[in-house]
Amino acid sequence: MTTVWTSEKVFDEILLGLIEEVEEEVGEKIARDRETPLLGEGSALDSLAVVTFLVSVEEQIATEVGKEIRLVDERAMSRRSSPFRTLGSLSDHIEELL
Amino acid sequence: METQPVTVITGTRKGIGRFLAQHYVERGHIVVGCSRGDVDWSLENYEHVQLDVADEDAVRDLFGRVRSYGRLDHLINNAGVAYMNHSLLTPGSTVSAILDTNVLGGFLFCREAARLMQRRRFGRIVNFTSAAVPLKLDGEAAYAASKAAVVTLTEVLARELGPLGVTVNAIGPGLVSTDLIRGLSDEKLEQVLARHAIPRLATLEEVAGVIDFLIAPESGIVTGQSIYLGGP
Repeated sequence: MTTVWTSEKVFDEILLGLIEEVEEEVGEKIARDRETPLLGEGSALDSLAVVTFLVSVEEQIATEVGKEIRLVDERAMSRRSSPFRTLGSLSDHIEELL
Repeated sequence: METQPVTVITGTRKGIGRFLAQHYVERGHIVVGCSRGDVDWSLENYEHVQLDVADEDAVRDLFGRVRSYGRLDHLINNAGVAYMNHSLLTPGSTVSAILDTNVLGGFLFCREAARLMQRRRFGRIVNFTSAAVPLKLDGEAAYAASKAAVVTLTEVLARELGPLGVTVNAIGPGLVSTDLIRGLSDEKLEQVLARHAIPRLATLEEVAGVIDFLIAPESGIVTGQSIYLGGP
């Protein structure tokens, strides 16, 4: 049976596992919350930390899900509401891609 | 994870690429090489992948195989095509083919390599530019433009990847006795050589010597540079 990767499952099993790595990189605690911002005001991540986080997410999905996806493409970049705003919106975006 | 350094080299079927594959295998690296055509040689600790460097899916598959080694230390982006003709006689399809291999292919390999390298915060990328860039060689407009793009790519990637522990440099190997210069007449060859500070063909060992320096662990602060053999 194929596993259904809902946004909640992505958040719990992919993103949360990578938060510690990000905390080490930015030297700051990050709330384990869907509303935690990734980009813009209130985000603990600088632009390079966002890039390496997204690369780690893709790698983790390749390992856990066995699927090679790319989070950033022209469609994702041209959306009015960026899928990279918060941990929650990123989880929704990944659910769509999977 | 492998204890030996892992090196990806593009364009290893013949010429400089083949020489470098052997050179780094002899130095204890695991080398993953590629070319559009099949190779008629094999080496221990060498794995060959047949692909077009501008085929994004194929490039990703190659790095999927590299991932199984658990590390990637070096990328030597040697694959390239040359074309020598007056611009008035150069078809657009030729320009596209040159840009695909020399610029798009180079970019895709840098991107995929750096994604693996950044995990260990260590990596060395060496791109191939050409003396045709500083010498502004007539008859090589499309080729020289593609190699100028490689220089800019190298300089910008050096900035983007520096914080991730990855250096990016370029070598312009000058004229080396390979298939790439076989299309040059003796007269043209003499003309081009005469514009170098050291007017002779470079040896494969001299090309490898520069790359040895650029990929050395001690060269972690050398980045964004283009080194031209034979001088300006």
